Amino acid sequence: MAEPDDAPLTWGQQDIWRAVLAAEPQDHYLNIGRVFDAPRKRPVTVERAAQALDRLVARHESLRTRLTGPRDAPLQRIFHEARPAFEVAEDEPAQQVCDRLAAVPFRYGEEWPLRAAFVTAGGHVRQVVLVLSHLAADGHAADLVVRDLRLLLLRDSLPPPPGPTPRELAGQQGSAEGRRLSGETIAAWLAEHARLDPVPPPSHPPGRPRFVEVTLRSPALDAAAQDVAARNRVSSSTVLLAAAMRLAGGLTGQRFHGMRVIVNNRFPAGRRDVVGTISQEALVVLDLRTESFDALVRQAWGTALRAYRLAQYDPCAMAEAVGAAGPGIRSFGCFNDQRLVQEDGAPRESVPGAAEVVRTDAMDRNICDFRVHVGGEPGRMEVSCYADTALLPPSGAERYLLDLERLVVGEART
Amino acid sequence: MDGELRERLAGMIAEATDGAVDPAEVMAGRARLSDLGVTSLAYLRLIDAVEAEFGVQLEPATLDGLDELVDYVRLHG
Repeated sequence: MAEPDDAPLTWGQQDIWRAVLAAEPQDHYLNIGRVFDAPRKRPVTVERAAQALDRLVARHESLRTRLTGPRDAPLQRIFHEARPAFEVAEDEPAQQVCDRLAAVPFRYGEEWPLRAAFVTAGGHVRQVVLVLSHLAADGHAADLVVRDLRLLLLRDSLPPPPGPTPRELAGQQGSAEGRRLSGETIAAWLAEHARLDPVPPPSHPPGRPRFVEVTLRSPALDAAAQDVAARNRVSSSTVLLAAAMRLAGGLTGQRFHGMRVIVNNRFPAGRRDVVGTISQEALVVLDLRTESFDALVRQAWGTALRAYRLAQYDPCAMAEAVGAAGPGIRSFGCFNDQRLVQEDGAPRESVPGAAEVVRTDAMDRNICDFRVHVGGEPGRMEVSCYADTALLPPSGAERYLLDLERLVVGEART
Repeated sequence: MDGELRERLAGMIAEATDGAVDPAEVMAGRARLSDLGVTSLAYLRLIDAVEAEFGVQLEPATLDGLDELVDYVRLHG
Protein backbone atom coordinates (compact mmCIF):
# COMPACT_ATOMS: atom_id res chain seq x y z
CA MET A 1 0.00 0.00 0.00
CA ALA A 2 1.26 3.50 -0.82
CA GLU A 3 2.72 5.57 1.99
CA PRO A 4 0.32 8.07 3.59
CA ASP A 5 0.68 11.78 2.81
CA ASP A 6 1.20 14.43 5.49
CA ALA A 7 -0.23 17.95 5.22
CA PRO A 8 -0.86 20.91 7.54
CA LEU A 9 -4.19 21.16 9.34
CA THR A 10 -6.88 23.42 7.93
CA TRP A 11 -7.67 26.51 10.00
CA GLY A 12 -10.92 24.86 11.10
CA GLN A 13 -9.01 21.76 12.23
CA GLN A 14 -6.54 23.95 14.12
CA ASP A 15 -9.47 25.56 15.94
CA ILE A 16 -10.80 22.16 16.94
CA TRP A 17 -7.35 20.94 17.99
CA ARG A 18 -7.03 23.94 20.31
CA ALA A 19 -10.41 23.01 21.80
CA VAL A 20 -9.29 19.36 22.20
CA LEU A 21 -6.15 20.37 24.09
CA ALA A 22 -8.14 22.70 26.34
CA ALA A 23 -10.70 20.00 27.24
CA GLU A 24 -8.66 16.79 27.49
CA PRO A 25 -9.54 14.25 28.82
CA GLN A 26 -13.16 15.37 28.38
CA ASP A 27 -12.77 16.21 24.69
CA HIS A 28 -15.43 13.67 23.72
CA TYR A 29 -17.91 16.58 23.95
CA LEU A 30 -16.60 17.60 20.52
CA ASN A 31 -17.62 14.30 18.88
CA ILE A 32 -20.46 14.50 16.38
CA GLY A 33 -23.10 11.74 16.45
CA ARG A 34 -25.72 11.01 13.81
CA VAL A 35 -28.41 8.33 13.67
CA PHE A 36 -30.50 7.59 10.59
CA ASP A 37 -32.89 4.94 9.30
CA ALA A 38 -31.63 2.44 6.73
CA PRO A 39 -33.70 2.06 3.53
CA ARG A 40 -36.95 0.23 4.24
CA LYS A 41 -38.09 -0.61 0.73
CA ARG A 42 -34.87 -2.39 -0.14
CA PRO A 43 -33.50 -3.54 3.25
CA VAL A 44 -29.75 -4.08 3.37
CA THR A 45 -27.67 -6.75 5.07
CA VAL A 46 -24.75 -5.98 7.36
CA GLU A 47 -22.41 -7.11 4.58
CA ARG A 48 -23.93 -4.64 2.14
CA ALA A 49 -23.81 -1.85 4.75
CA ALA A 50 -20.14 -2.61 5.48
CA GLN A 51 -19.41 -2.34 1.76
CA ALA A 52 -21.18 1.04 1.65
CA LEU A 53 -19.11 2.20 4.62
CA ASP A 54 -15.90 1.23 2.83
CA ARG A 55 -17.01 3.16 -0.25
CA LEU A 56 -17.87 6.16 1.90
CA VAL A 57 -14.40 6.20 3.43
CA ALA A 58 -12.76 5.72 0.04
CA ARG A 59 -14.79 8.70 -1.24
CA HIS A 60 -13.86 11.21 1.46
CA GLU A 61 -10.25 11.85 2.31
CA SER A 62 -11.07 13.34 5.70
CA LEU A 63 -12.55 9.99 6.83
CA ARG A 64 -9.19 8.27 6.32
CA THR A 65 -7.10 10.92 7.99
CA ARG A 66 -5.35 10.71 11.36
CA LEU A 67 -3.06 13.11 13.16
CA THR A 68 0.71 12.86 13.34
CA GLY A 69 3.60 14.99 14.58
CA PRO A 70 4.04 17.10 17.71
CA ARG A 71 1.06 17.89 19.93
CA ASP A 72 1.59 21.62 19.65
CA ALA A 73 1.67 21.57 15.85
CA PRO A 74 0.20 18.32 14.50
CA LEU A 75 -0.18 17.45 10.82
CA GLN A 76 -2.96 15.55 9.12
CA ARG A 77 -1.85 12.17 7.82
CA ILE A 78 -3.96 11.05 4.88
CA PHE A 79 -4.07 7.33 4.13
CA HIS A 80 -4.94 5.92 0.74
CA GLU A 81 -7.05 3.17 2.23
CA ALA A 82 -8.91 2.64 5.47
CA ARG A 83 -11.29 0.03 6.85
CA PRO A 84 -13.04 1.57 9.84
CA ALA A 85 -14.31 -0.90 12.39
CA PHE A 86 -18.05 -1.09 12.95
CA GLU A 87 -20.22 -2.83 15.46
CA VAL A 88 -23.47 -4.64 15.00
CA ALA A 89 -26.07 -3.98 17.67
CA GLU A 90 -29.18 -6.07 17.96
CA ASP A 91 -31.01 -5.25 21.15
CA GLU A 92 -29.85 -1.74 21.87
CA PRO A 93 -31.68 1.45 20.85
CA ALA A 94 -29.74 3.31 18.13
CA GLN A 95 -29.54 6.57 20.09
CA GLN A 96 -28.07 4.71 23.05
CA VAL A 97 -25.45 3.16 20.76
CA CYS A 98 -24.67 6.61 19.41
CA ASP A 99 -24.32 8.11 22.91
CA ARG A 100 -22.10 5.20 23.98
CA LEU A 101 -19.79 5.52 20.96
CA ALA A 102 -19.67 9.32 21.29
CA ALA A 103 -18.82 9.20 25.02
CA VAL A 104 -15.23 8.11 24.37
CA PRO A 105 -12.64 10.60 23.05
CA PHE A 106 -11.03 9.68 19.74
CA ARG A 107 -7.39 8.60 19.75
CA TYR A 108 -6.60 11.05 17.02
CA GLY A 109 -3.22 9.56 16.06
CA GLU A 110 -4.19 5.89 16.10
CA GLU A 111 -7.87 5.64 15.33
CA TRP A 112 -9.91 6.35 12.18
CA PRO A 113 -12.04 9.46 12.73
CA LEU A 114 -15.29 7.59 12.11
CA ARG A 115 -17.04 5.03 14.31
CA ALA A 116 -20.02 3.19 12.93
CA ALA A 117 -22.68 0.81 14.16
CA PHE A 118 -25.46 -1.02 12.36
CA VAL A 119 -28.57 -1.67 14.42
CA THR A 120 -30.22 -4.80 13.06
CA ALA A 121 -33.53 -6.62 13.36
CA GLY A 122 -34.65 -9.70 11.45
CA GLY A 123 -31.31 -10.03 9.66
CA HIS A 124 -31.37 -6.56 8.16
CA VAL A 125 -29.93 -3.18 9.08
CA ARG A 126 -32.66 -0.93 10.46
CA GLN A 127 -30.64 2.03 11.63
CA VAL A 128 -27.14 3.34 11.12
CA VAL A 129 -25.09 5.14 13.75
CA LEU A 130 -22.13 7.33 12.87
CA VAL A 131 -19.84 9.13 15.30
CA LEU A 132 -17.33 11.48 13.73
CA SER A 133 -14.28 13.14 15.13
CA HIS A 134 -14.70 16.91 14.89
CA LEU A 135 -11.27 17.00 13.21
CA ALA A 136 -12.78 15.11 10.26
CA ALA A 137 -16.09 16.91 9.98
CA ASP A 138 -18.05 19.89 11.19
CA GLY A 139 -21.81 19.77 11.60
CA HIS A 140 -22.54 20.41 7.92
CA ALA A 141 -19.96 17.86 6.79
CA ALA A 142 -21.54 15.29 9.12
CA ASP A 143 -24.86 15.83 7.33
CA LEU A 144 -23.14 15.38 3.95
CA VAL A 145 -21.55 12.15 5.17
CA VAL A 146 -24.96 10.87 6.27
CA ARG A 147 -26.43 11.81 2.88
CA ASP A 148 -23.67 9.96 1.03
CA LEU A 149 -23.88 6.85 3.16
CA ARG A 150 -27.67 6.70 2.70
CA LEU A 151 -27.15 6.84 -1.06
CA LEU A 152 -24.37 4.25 -0.95
CA LEU A 153 -26.67 1.83 0.86
CA LEU A 154 -28.81 1.95 -2.28
CA ARG A 155 -26.22 2.42 -5.04
CA ASP A 156 -22.80 1.02 -5.80
CA SER A 157 -21.19 4.32 -6.62
CA LEU A 158 -21.57 8.08 -6.53
CA PRO A 159 -20.10 10.78 -8.73
CA PRO A 160 -16.75 12.05 -7.42
CA PRO A 161 -17.12 14.49 -4.52
CA PRO A 162 -17.02 18.12 -5.63
CA GLY A 163 -14.94 20.76 -3.96
CA PRO A 164 -11.51 20.88 -2.42
CA THR A 165 -10.27 18.26 0.06
CA PRO A 166 -9.05 19.37 3.50
CA ARG A 167 -5.49 18.88 2.25
CA GLU A 168 -6.12 21.22 -0.70
CA LEU A 169 -7.83 23.73 1.59
CA ALA A 170 -4.88 23.70 3.97
CA GLY A 171 -2.64 24.36 0.97
CA GLN A 172 -4.76 27.34 -0.10
CA GLN A 173 -4.81 28.69 3.45
CA GLY A 174 -1.03 28.44 3.75
CA SER A 175 -0.44 30.26 0.44
CA ALA A 176 0.32 33.98 0.15
CA GLU A 177 -3.33 34.59 -0.78
CA GLY A 178 -4.51 32.60 2.24
CA ARG A 179 -2.24 34.53 4.58
CA ARG A 180 -3.48 37.80 3.10
CA LEU A 181 -7.10 36.77 3.68
CA SER A 182 -6.30 35.78 7.27
CA GLY A 183 -4.45 39.06 7.87
CA GLU A 184 -7.39 41.09 6.56
CA THR A 185 -9.83 39.19 8.74
CA ILE A 186 -7.67 39.65 11.83
CA ALA A 187 -7.45 43.38 11.12
CA ALA A 188 -11.24 43.57 10.78
CA TRP A 189 -11.71 41.74 14.10
CA LEU A 190 -9.25 44.08 15.80
CA ALA A 191 -11.18 47.08 14.50
CA GLU A 192 -14.33 45.59 16.03
CA HIS A 193 -12.48 44.91 19.31
CA ALA A 194 -11.67 48.64 19.46
CA ARG A 195 -15.44 49.29 19.77
CA LEU A 196 -15.97 46.85 22.65
CA ASP A 197 -16.53 47.91 26.23
CA PRO A 198 -14.45 45.86 28.68
CA VAL A 199 -15.85 42.63 30.12
CA PRO A 200 -15.48 42.72 33.92
CA PRO A 201 -13.41 39.91 35.49
CA PRO A 202 -15.28 36.84 36.87
CA SER A 203 -16.75 37.59 40.28
CA HIS A 204 -18.01 34.23 41.57
CA PRO A 205 -16.07 31.49 43.36
CA PRO A 206 -15.49 28.74 40.76
CA GLY A 207 -17.67 25.67 41.34
CA ARG A 208 -16.87 22.01 40.96
CA PRO A 209 -17.21 20.95 38.23
CA ARG A 210 -16.03 24.27 36.86
CA PHE A 211 -18.28 24.39 33.76
CA VAL A 212 -21.99 23.59 33.83
CA GLU A 213 -24.52 23.43 31.00
CA VAL A 214 -28.22 24.00 31.56
CA THR A 215 -30.83 23.52 28.86
CA LEU A 216 -34.20 25.19 28.35
CA ARG A 217 -36.85 23.20 26.54
CA SER A 218 -39.46 25.66 25.49
CA PRO A 219 -42.56 25.03 23.40
CA ALA A 220 -43.26 28.76 23.18
CA LEU A 221 -39.82 30.06 22.15
CA ASP A 222 -39.75 28.60 18.62
CA ALA A 223 -43.04 30.21 17.57
CA ALA A 224 -42.15 33.49 19.28
CA ALA A 225 -38.74 33.70 17.56
CA GLN A 226 -40.43 33.04 14.20
CA ASP A 227 -42.97 35.74 14.90
CA VAL A 228 -40.38 38.41 15.73
CA ALA A 229 -38.28 37.26 12.74
CA ALA A 230 -41.18 37.59 10.30
CA ARG A 231 -42.01 41.07 11.61
CA ASN A 232 -38.44 42.24 11.04
CA ARG A 233 -37.81 40.23 7.84
CA VAL A 234 -34.86 38.39 9.35
CA SER A 235 -34.17 34.77 10.36
CA SER A 236 -35.23 33.34 13.71
CA SER A 237 -31.55 32.67 14.32
CA THR A 238 -30.88 36.42 14.21
CA VAL A 239 -33.67 37.03 16.73
CA LEU A 240 -32.15 34.51 19.14
CA LEU A 241 -28.65 35.94 18.62
CA ALA A 242 -29.89 39.45 19.37
CA ALA A 243 -31.70 38.21 22.50
CA ALA A 244 -28.68 36.17 23.65
CA MET A 245 -26.39 39.18 23.20
CA ARG A 246 -28.73 41.67 24.86
CA LEU A 247 -28.99 39.48 27.96
CA ALA A 248 -25.26 38.67 28.02
CA GLY A 249 -24.58 42.40 27.76
CA GLY A 250 -26.84 42.79 30.77
CA LEU A 251 -24.56 40.42 32.69
CA THR A 252 -21.38 42.27 31.71
CA GLY A 253 -22.78 45.80 31.79
CA GLN A 254 -21.49 46.50 28.26
CA ARG A 255 -23.10 48.80 25.73
CA PHE A 256 -20.87 47.54 22.88
CA HIS A 257 -20.90 43.78 23.28
CA GLY A 258 -19.33 41.06 21.13
CA MET A 259 -20.20 37.41 20.70
CA ARG A 260 -18.64 34.85 18.39
CA VAL A 261 -20.92 32.88 16.07
CA ILE A 262 -20.04 29.55 14.44
CA VAL A 263 -20.13 29.91 10.65
CA ASN A 264 -19.97 26.95 8.27
CA ASN A 265 -17.95 28.84 5.62
CA ARG A 266 -19.57 27.11 2.67
CA PHE A 267 -21.00 30.15 0.86
CA PRO A 268 -18.72 30.08 -2.21
CA ALA A 269 -20.19 27.76 -4.83
CA GLY A 270 -17.14 25.47 -4.88
CA ARG A 271 -17.24 24.81 -1.14
CA ARG A 272 -20.82 23.81 -0.52
CA ASP A 273 -20.09 20.10 -0.33
CA VAL A 274 -16.73 20.07 1.42
CA VAL A 275 -16.44 17.14 3.81
CA GLY A 276 -13.99 18.37 6.39
CA THR A 277 -13.75 20.86 9.22
CA ILE A 278 -13.98 24.33 7.72
CA SER A 279 -16.42 26.04 10.07
CA GLN A 280 -14.90 28.78 12.21
CA GLU A 281 -16.12 31.60 14.39
CA ALA A 282 -17.25 35.04 13.25
CA LEU A 283 -17.32 38.06 15.57
CA VAL A 284 -20.57 39.98 15.90
CA VAL A 285 -20.41 43.28 17.80
CA LEU A 286 -23.67 45.07 18.60
CA ASP A 287 -24.52 48.41 20.14
CA LEU A 288 -27.06 47.18 22.67
CA ARG A 289 -28.46 50.63 23.41
CA THR A 290 -31.28 50.68 20.87
CA GLU A 291 -34.72 52.21 21.12
CA SER A 292 -36.40 48.81 20.87
CA PHE A 293 -35.68 45.10 20.60
CA ASP A 294 -36.82 45.20 16.97
CA ALA A 295 -34.15 47.81 16.25
CA LEU A 296 -31.54 45.55 17.85
CA VAL A 297 -32.74 42.60 15.76
CA ARG A 298 -32.42 44.61 12.55
CA GLN A 299 -28.97 45.81 13.56
CA ALA A 300 -27.98 42.20 14.29
CA TRP A 301 -29.15 41.07 10.82
CA GLY A 302 -26.89 43.39 8.83
CA THR A 303 -23.98 43.14 11.26
CA ALA A 304 -24.11 39.35 11.32
CA LEU A 305 -24.29 39.06 7.52
CA ARG A 306 -21.13 41.16 7.22
CA ALA A 307 -19.45 39.28 10.07
CA TYR A 308 -20.21 35.82 8.65
CA ARG A 309 -17.96 36.63 5.71
CA LEU A 310 -15.05 37.20 8.12
CA ALA A 311 -14.77 33.72 9.57
CA GLN A 312 -11.69 32.36 7.79
CA TYR A 313 -8.36 33.01 9.49
CA ASP A 314 -5.34 31.41 11.11
CA PRO A 315 -6.72 30.74 14.62
CA CYS A 316 -3.33 30.94 16.39
CA ALA A 317 -2.54 34.32 14.82
CA MET A 318 -6.07 35.49 15.67
CA ALA A 319 -5.78 34.38 19.32
CA GLU A 320 -2.49 36.21 19.62
CA ALA A 321 -3.83 39.39 18.04
CA VAL A 322 -7.08 39.65 20.01
CA GLY A 323 -5.31 38.54 23.20
CA ALA A 324 -3.35 41.80 23.07
CA ALA A 325 -6.45 43.99 22.63
CA GLY A 326 -6.34 45.26 26.23
CA PRO A 327 -7.65 44.28 29.68
CA GLY A 328 -11.20 42.94 29.43
CA ILE A 329 -11.44 43.81 25.72
CA ARG A 330 -12.75 40.54 24.43
CA SER A 331 -15.74 38.86 22.90
CA PHE A 332 -18.07 37.25 25.40
CA GLY A 333 -18.61 33.62 24.54
CA CYS A 334 -20.01 31.90 21.53
CA PHE A 335 -23.40 31.41 19.87
CA ASN A 336 -24.19 28.35 17.80
CA ASP A 337 -27.50 27.62 16.11
CA GLN A 338 -27.35 23.91 15.43
CA ARG A 339 -30.91 23.35 14.35
CA LEU A 340 -30.90 20.73 11.63
CA VAL A 341 -34.09 22.08 10.14
CA GLN A 342 -34.07 25.84 10.28
CA GLU A 343 -36.68 26.82 7.80
CA ASP A 344 -38.41 30.03 8.58
CA GLY A 345 -41.66 30.08 6.73
CA ALA A 346 -45.07 31.13 7.92
CA PRO A 347 -44.98 31.75 11.67
CA ARG A 348 -45.78 28.57 13.57
CA GLU A 349 -48.49 28.14 16.14
CA SER A 350 -47.17 28.02 19.66
CA VAL A 351 -47.19 24.48 21.04
CA PRO A 352 -48.87 24.23 24.44
CA GLY A 353 -46.76 23.20 27.41
CA ALA A 354 -44.55 24.71 30.07
CA ALA A 355 -40.87 25.46 29.72
CA GLU A 356 -38.42 23.38 31.71
CA VAL A 357 -34.78 23.96 32.55
CA VAL A 358 -32.52 21.01 33.30
CA ARG A 359 -28.82 20.56 33.92
CA THR A 360 -27.45 18.68 30.90
CA ASP A 361 -23.65 18.58 31.18
CA ALA A 362 -20.67 19.45 33.33
CA MET A 363 -16.95 19.66 32.59
CA ASP A 364 -13.75 20.53 34.42
CA ARG A 365 -11.94 22.27 31.57
CA ASN A 366 -12.97 24.04 28.38
CA ILE A 367 -11.66 26.57 25.87
CA CYS A 368 -14.83 28.65 26.04
CA ASP A 369 -16.27 30.32 29.16
CA PHE A 370 -19.77 31.04 27.86
CA ARG A 371 -21.71 29.37 25.09
CA VAL A 372 -25.29 29.47 23.88
CA HIS A 373 -26.46 26.55 21.73
CA VAL A 374 -29.76 26.43 19.89
CA GLY A 375 -31.01 22.99 18.92
CA GLY A 376 -34.04 20.73 18.99
CA GLU A 377 -36.71 20.41 16.38
CA PRO A 378 -39.49 22.67 15.12
CA GLY A 379 -41.94 23.17 17.96
CA ARG A 380 -39.49 21.72 20.48
CA MET A 381 -36.68 24.25 20.61
CA GLU A 382 -33.85 23.66 23.04
CA VAL A 383 -31.47 26.41 24.10
CA SER A 384 -28.44 25.55 26.22
CA CYS A 385 -26.28 27.91 28.21
CA TYR A 386 -22.88 26.55 29.04
CA ALA A 387 -20.92 28.73 31.43
CA ASP A 388 -17.85 28.93 33.60
CA THR A 389 -19.29 28.90 37.13
CA ALA A 390 -16.86 31.70 38.06
CA LEU A 391 -18.57 33.84 35.46
CA LEU A 392 -22.13 32.66 35.96
CA PRO A 393 -23.23 30.07 38.52
CA PRO A 394 -25.76 27.42 37.37
CA SER A 395 -28.65 29.34 38.97
CA GLY A 396 -27.59 32.40 36.92
CA ALA A 397 -27.45 30.32 33.72
CA GLU A 398 -30.98 29.06 34.41
CA ARG A 399 -32.18 32.60 34.97
CA TYR A 400 -30.42 33.70 31.76
CA LEU A 401 -32.34 31.12 29.71
CA LEU A 402 -35.68 31.91 31.31
CA ASP A 403 -35.03 35.63 30.73
CA LEU A 404 -34.26 34.83 27.09
CA GLU A 405 -37.56 33.02 26.71
CA ARG A 406 -39.43 35.82 28.48
CA LEU A 407 -37.80 38.47 26.28
CA VAL A 408 -38.56 36.79 22.94
CA VAL A 409 -42.05 35.60 23.90
CA GLY A 410 -42.85 39.06 25.28
CA GLU A 411 -41.60 40.74 22.08
CA ALA A 412 -43.71 38.39 19.96
CA ARG A 413 -46.81 39.67 21.72
CA THR A 414 -46.08 43.35 21.15
CA MET B 1 -28.48 44.82 -21.51
CA ASP B 2 -30.35 45.56 -18.31
CA GLY B 3 -32.81 42.80 -19.14
CA GLU B 4 -29.99 40.28 -19.44
CA LEU B 5 -28.42 41.41 -16.18
CA ARG B 6 -31.80 41.28 -14.47
CA GLU B 7 -32.42 37.79 -15.70
CA ARG B 8 -28.95 36.62 -14.70
CA LEU B 9 -29.26 38.07 -11.20
CA ALA B 10 -32.73 36.54 -10.75
CA GLY B 11 -31.18 33.19 -11.73
CA MET B 12 -28.37 33.68 -9.23
CA ILE B 13 -30.89 34.42 -6.48
CA ALA B 14 -32.71 31.19 -7.31
CA GLU B 15 -29.43 29.24 -7.29
CA ALA B 16 -28.44 30.72 -3.93
CA THR B 17 -31.69 29.48 -2.42
CA ASP B 18 -31.28 25.97 -3.88
CA GLY B 19 -34.34 26.57 -6.01
CA ALA B 20 -36.61 27.48 -3.09
CA VAL B 21 -37.22 30.78 -4.86
CA ASP B 22 -38.28 30.67 -8.49
CA PRO B 23 -36.42 33.02 -10.90
CA ALA B 24 -39.72 33.95 -12.56
CA GLU B 25 -41.11 34.91 -9.18
CA VAL B 26 -38.12 37.19 -8.56
CA MET B 27 -38.41 38.68 -12.07
CA ALA B 28 -42.14 39.26 -11.81
CA GLY B 29 -42.62 40.86 -8.46
CA ARG B 30 -41.36 43.91 -6.71
CA ALA B 31 -41.27 42.06 -3.40
CA ARG B 32 -38.33 42.24 -1.06
CA LEU B 33 -36.01 39.27 -1.31
CA SER B 34 -36.63 38.43 2.34
CA ASP B 35 -40.36 38.27 1.63
CA LEU B 36 -39.68 35.72 -1.09
CA GLY B 37 -37.94 33.48 1.44
CA VAL B 38 -34.29 34.35 0.81
CA THR B 39 -32.46 33.29 3.98
CA SER B 40 -29.22 34.64 5.44
CA LEU B 41 -27.37 31.61 4.07
CA ALA B 42 -28.72 32.37 0.60
CA TYR B 43 -27.74 36.04 0.95
CA LEU B 44 -24.20 35.00 1.76
CA ARG B 45 -24.07 32.65 -1.23
CA LEU B 46 -25.44 35.40 -3.42
CA ILE B 47 -22.89 37.94 -2.15
CA ASP B 48 -20.08 35.49 -2.98
CA ALA B 49 -21.53 34.56 -6.38
CA VAL B 50 -22.00 38.21 -7.42
CA GLU B 51 -18.50 39.05 -6.27
CA ALA B 52 -17.08 36.11 -8.25
CA GLU B 53 -19.00 36.90 -11.43
CA PHE B 54 -19.13 40.70 -11.48
CA GLY B 55 -16.33 41.67 -9.10
CA VAL B 56 -18.83 43.73 -7.11
CA GLN B 57 -18.80 43.68 -3.33
CA LEU B 58 -22.36 43.82 -2.06
CA GLU B 59 -23.48 45.25 1.25
CA PRO B 60 -26.47 43.52 2.87
CA ALA B 61 -28.35 46.83 2.67
CA THR B 62 -28.12 46.73 -1.13
CA LEU B 63 -29.99 43.45 -1.26
CA ASP B 64 -33.50 44.62 -0.62
CA GLY B 65 -34.94 43.58 -3.95
CA LEU B 66 -34.00 42.65 -7.51
CA ASP B 67 -34.30 46.26 -8.76
CA GLU B 68 -31.86 47.52 -6.11
CA LEU B 69 -29.48 44.66 -6.86
CA VAL B 70 -29.54 45.35 -10.62
CA ASP B 71 -28.92 49.06 -10.03
CA TYR B 72 -26.06 48.38 -7.67
CA VAL B 73 -24.29 45.90 -9.94
CA ARG B 74 -24.76 48.17 -12.97
CA LEU B 75 -23.32 51.13 -11.07
CA HIS B 76 -20.37 49.34 -9.50
CA GLY B 77 -19.63 46.56 -11.99
